[in-house]
Amino acid sequence: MREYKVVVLGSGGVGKSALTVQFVTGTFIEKYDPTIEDFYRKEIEVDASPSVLEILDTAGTEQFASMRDLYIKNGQGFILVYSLVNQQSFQDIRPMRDQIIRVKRYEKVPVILVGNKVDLESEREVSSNEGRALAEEWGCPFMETSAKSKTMVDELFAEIVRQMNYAAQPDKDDPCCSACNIQ
Amino acid sequence: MGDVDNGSSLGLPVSRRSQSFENLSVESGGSLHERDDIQGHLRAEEVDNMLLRNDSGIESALSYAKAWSKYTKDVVAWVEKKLSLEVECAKNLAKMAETAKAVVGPQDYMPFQSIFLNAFQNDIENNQLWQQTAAALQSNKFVQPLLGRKNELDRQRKDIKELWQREQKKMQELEAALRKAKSLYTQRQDEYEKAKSCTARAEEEHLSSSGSFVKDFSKQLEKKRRLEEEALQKAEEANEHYKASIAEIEEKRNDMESFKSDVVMQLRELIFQCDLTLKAATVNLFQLQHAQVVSLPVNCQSLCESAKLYDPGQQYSEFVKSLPKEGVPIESGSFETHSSQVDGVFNKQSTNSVHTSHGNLSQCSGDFPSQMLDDVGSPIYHRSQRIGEKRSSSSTDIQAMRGPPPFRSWSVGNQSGGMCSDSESAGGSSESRSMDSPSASPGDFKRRLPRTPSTGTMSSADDLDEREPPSPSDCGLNDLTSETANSPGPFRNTSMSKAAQTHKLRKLRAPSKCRECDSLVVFHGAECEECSLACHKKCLETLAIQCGHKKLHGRLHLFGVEFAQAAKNVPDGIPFIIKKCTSEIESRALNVKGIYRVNGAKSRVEKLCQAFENGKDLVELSELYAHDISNVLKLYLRQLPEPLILFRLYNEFIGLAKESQSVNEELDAKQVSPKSKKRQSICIELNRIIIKIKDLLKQLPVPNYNTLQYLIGHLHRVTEQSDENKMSASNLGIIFGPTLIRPRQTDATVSLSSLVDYPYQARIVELLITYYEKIFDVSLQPLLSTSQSEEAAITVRVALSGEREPQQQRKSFVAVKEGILIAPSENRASETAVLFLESHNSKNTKEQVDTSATERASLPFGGKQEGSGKSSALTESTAASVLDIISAPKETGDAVSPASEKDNDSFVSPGEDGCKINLLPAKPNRQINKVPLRVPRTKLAIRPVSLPVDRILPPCVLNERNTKNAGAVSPENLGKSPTIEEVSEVKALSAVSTCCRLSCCDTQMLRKTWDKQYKQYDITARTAMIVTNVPQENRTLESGTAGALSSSCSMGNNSANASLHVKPYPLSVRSGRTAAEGSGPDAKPVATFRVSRTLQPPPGTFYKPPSNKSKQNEESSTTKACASTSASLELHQDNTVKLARSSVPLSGDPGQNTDEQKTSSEDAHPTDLKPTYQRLRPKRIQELEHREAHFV
Repeated sequence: MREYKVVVLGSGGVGKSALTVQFVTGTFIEKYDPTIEDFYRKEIEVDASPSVLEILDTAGTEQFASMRDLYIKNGQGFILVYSLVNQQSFQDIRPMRDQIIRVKRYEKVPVILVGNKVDLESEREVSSNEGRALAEEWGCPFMETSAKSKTMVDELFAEIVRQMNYAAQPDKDDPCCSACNIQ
Repeated sequence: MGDVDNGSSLGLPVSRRSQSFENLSVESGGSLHERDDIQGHLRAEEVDNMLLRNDSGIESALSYAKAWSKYTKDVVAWVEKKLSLEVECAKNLAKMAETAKAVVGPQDYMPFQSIFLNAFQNDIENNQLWQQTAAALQSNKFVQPLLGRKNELDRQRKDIKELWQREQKKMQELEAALRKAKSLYTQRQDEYEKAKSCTARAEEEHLSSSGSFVKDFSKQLEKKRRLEEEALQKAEEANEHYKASIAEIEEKRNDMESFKSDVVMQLRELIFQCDLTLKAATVNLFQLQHAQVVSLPVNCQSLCESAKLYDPGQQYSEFVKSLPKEGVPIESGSFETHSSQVDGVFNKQSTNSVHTSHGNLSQCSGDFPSQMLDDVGSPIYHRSQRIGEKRSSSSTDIQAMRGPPPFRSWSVGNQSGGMCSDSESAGGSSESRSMDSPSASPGDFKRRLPRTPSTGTMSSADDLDEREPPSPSDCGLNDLTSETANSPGPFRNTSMSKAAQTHKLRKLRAPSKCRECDSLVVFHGAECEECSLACHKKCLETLAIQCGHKKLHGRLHLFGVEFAQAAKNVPDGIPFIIKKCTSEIESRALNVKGIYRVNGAKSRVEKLCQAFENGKDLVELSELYAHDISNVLKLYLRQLPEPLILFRLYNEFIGLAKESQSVNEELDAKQVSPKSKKRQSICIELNRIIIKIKDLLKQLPVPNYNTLQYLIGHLHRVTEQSDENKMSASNLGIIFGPTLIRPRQTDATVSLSSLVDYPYQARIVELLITYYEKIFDVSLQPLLSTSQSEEAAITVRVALSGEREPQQQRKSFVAVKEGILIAPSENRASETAVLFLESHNSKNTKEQVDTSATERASLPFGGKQEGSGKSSALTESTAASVLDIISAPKETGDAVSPASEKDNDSFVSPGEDGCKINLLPAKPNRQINKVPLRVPRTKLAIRPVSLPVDRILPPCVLNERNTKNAGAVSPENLGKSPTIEEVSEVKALSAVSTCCRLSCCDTQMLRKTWDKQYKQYDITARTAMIVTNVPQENRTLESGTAGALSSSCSMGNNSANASLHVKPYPLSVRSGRTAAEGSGPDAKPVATFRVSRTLQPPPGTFYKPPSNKSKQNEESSTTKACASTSASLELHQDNTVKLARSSVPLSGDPGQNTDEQKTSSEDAHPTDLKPTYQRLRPKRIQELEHREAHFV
């Protein structure tokens, strides 16, 4: 059974923990406690293959931004969460992705862009198109989720697993088959 | 061929002409263009026909295409070379301009400086423009498309050429075949002719010869005829073939013809397309070149114009004006006197400056200065100002102007853009300030002087309006008028931020740095007359710095600067930025969800940081997002090189956090179980930790401490709104943890250690916030000096014991505990008392607090009492005792007296009670003990009844603990404990009051003993369980002793009278001692406790034995002990005599009560009590010392 290390990133109060907990336990946490760092483990079946997700729920508050490098180093797949009722959180996403690329030194890191709190449609500040455009720019999937109403939460984590699978294959193919074999 | 060539050459020129025409048409206009188009089309067909008619037409077309390609290549090469040259040139120019700018820029007060700076700027901008142009031409405007087209052309041309050649080859082959067929045909024809003649000859011979040869002849003849026929046949075949070949070649020719026309068409289209591209590119090229040059003459002209405006000597006078103002008063005076009369340059200058300063006023400004000069105090001048304001078009201004009082209008004028009412006062003040302050520059002074008189003379606005037009004419200075004309009412149409509106803006005179965006301002700049803040016109929209009405300080370094440096500028050591941000947040953002958690926008945050560095406390925050402000505050704290809580205290704080964490875990674990003993102990532990924190904080430098207190107070208020903002203390702890307390960064271990410590950092901050009042002694500090506080404490005890009113027991208990804990840590008993009071007040009884507050010394005690009263009378007494203890240990310091031990015990009991209470679901009765400071004795008796329930439980617990934990506990105690427990559950609360006595009498003693015990426990096992249990046991023992003392107390609790209490005390004390003895090691402290309790009454005694090495520990322990004792006391009450012994441990509360009672009674017996304590001390002192060492 393959293990997937997923890191959930995003600025403060966007619902990283809510998403994660919703996925892991199926409940929505009402409390508003900032996370320092939480770790979850869950087995799921994605595309008929069982997989173990190790989810690192990170601190969004900037005080802990210095820890991000650590998270990123340890992570394989990244869920970048912003709150679609907070434009600033959307703005904060880009540097995080840049940081991932920088730390990983690799362009095609499995990433998913997630707009959370889609249940608060009336307070929306970031349109779907903005999110989608950014995701297209990065060539990554884009989702709008709601931890509260459990919208697209399971799909999200299934998708990140697929992304990691997808990233892993060409990863092996490219350097090994084309480069190594031919040479 | 010559013809052909001519034709082709003709064709080419034609096409060229058409091209050029097209180009022209584009520029010249539509009609031409159309005609050209027509011509072009006609020609195109003609061209094709001509080419078709020409054998080598295609070749020439192809060669033309090739020539076009080469031509384009050459053109592109030229353009590229030119561009690179231009770019290089521009770059060099810009570089020169930059260096010149850097050199010239700082040289203030040089003539034409701004103009040259502008020229430099122009150069620099030009460079950019040229580079942009070059880039554009390189990329999509010229070079790339042309090269692309050329390549395309070459490719197609080659293709066509190849095709054409293939076709031609085929044609040639066909022709060759035809020729061959023809020759064959002729040959065959010849052969046939030969055969035919041969046959004919043979026939003739045949006819002539006859005879025998006939047969032969006939044969020969026949043969020859056959040959002839064959020849004929062949000839016919050849003929056929020949004809076929001819037909084929004919067909091919037709094909060739059509192919040729196709190719020609293709080539033509290709060339047309190329021309189109070339045309577009050429247009682009020259357009861009035009654009890149077009600004130059304008700039130069504007520079030229502005250069013409300069008055020789202007800058020099400016420079003189700006000289340091030491001599100002005198100078200004002289200046003023002159000002009305002065003419010439000086006047001009002054007027100029005035005029500029009135940027907002627009055209009027020009008038205004002139008026100023003419008659300073004249109404006219004032009017002009007004007018200017009106013109400035801000509605507020207009309103202000309309306002009847002249003063207003004047003030408005002063403020230029300000809001009516506020601006008035501000303006006025600013004026006066400027007048008075020696720092004001002479120029400023001058400017302002005229205005003041003008204020008085206000006429109607209409008059002003009328005045406007003439006013310009009034000013005789051409320069002024011209300037005014040139300056388009500088900033009246600009939208300005709130802060920008507070400035009195004028046009910027000399280039300087924009305070908003931090870049250079040369033109289109605004400058405030009063604070000389400079900024871009466009930056006025976002300007965050308000006018300080005095010269703005230079940029200061704020972020990332040592805290001490920032603190030393402020008397209380709290940097302005912290005050500013917190007050702004408190004023409007306390209910914002996620305040301090949600990030601000980075760009805005950076801007705000800049504004803070530029404008210091003048930064206007009211328009900014709360999250940005909170972010700036966090940023500031985070960027301090050393955090507020210094590095050297880090480990200790983290250690405390770990302890509290374990305590918390225990609490959680035990909340499930109904037993309250452990909880009590945990609470005690928590209190101890808080006390320790408090002590640690005392080690901070004063500015750090003050700032921390200020900040934590703010955060505390944030948590009070946590229903709305969701930011609880733990939330804020997580966020502020790493900002307030962090380890010294050693590169290697940073990440891991910090990761591990984050929760503890957060925990510390959480504790600070949660127990803010206790940790920082918030409100009462000023009330009492230590000695006073001690006395007060004693009195308080009495009062506490005397008056107890039911209120929220739990809260009060907790508060009491906390207070107690804190108190010991602090040296000031009064402070602790204050804390208690505050906590109590805030939580439960404000009235009582108030009353207590009115009484100085009594107040703190009263507060304690109240708290205790809430929980139980015992708690009150304990609190009092705690206070005493605290004060005593602090003062005494090293010497551990039995009294302290007793106090500790008593404290412990209340603390435990409090814990229990908190834990216990039943907190129904809130007993608020009003503690009239000196009345208490009488009041002591009053309480007991209401309190009991809560307290009963704690005593039981204590007893249990004692029995369980302390094997040394005397059988008596054990036996008593169960009974106590049973009773206690019901009545325990009542007993609480007894504790007071203990504390009062023996606080020091108790402390010491308690401390010893406590320390030992702490040392042995840090886990809250163990610690709590052990101390509790000890405490219970102690409390037992206390209980003995407090038997009287219990009486008091039971509604015993003071007199009753007095009697029981001695009894209880004895019993307690006996019990203690019986119990063994624990018994000793107990005995001391008992003694102490009896002794309690005189406050002075407490003070006398100031020797507390293990103050903190002791204190905490004492608090715990108090709790236990109180509980025991309650039990005692129930059990009566036996209770007295056993109850001592049980009724911590009663002990307190008894203490209180004792205190009342103590007045008579204080001296006696003291000696007893002293006796006890020596043994315990040693123990305490040991403990202290361990703890610290």
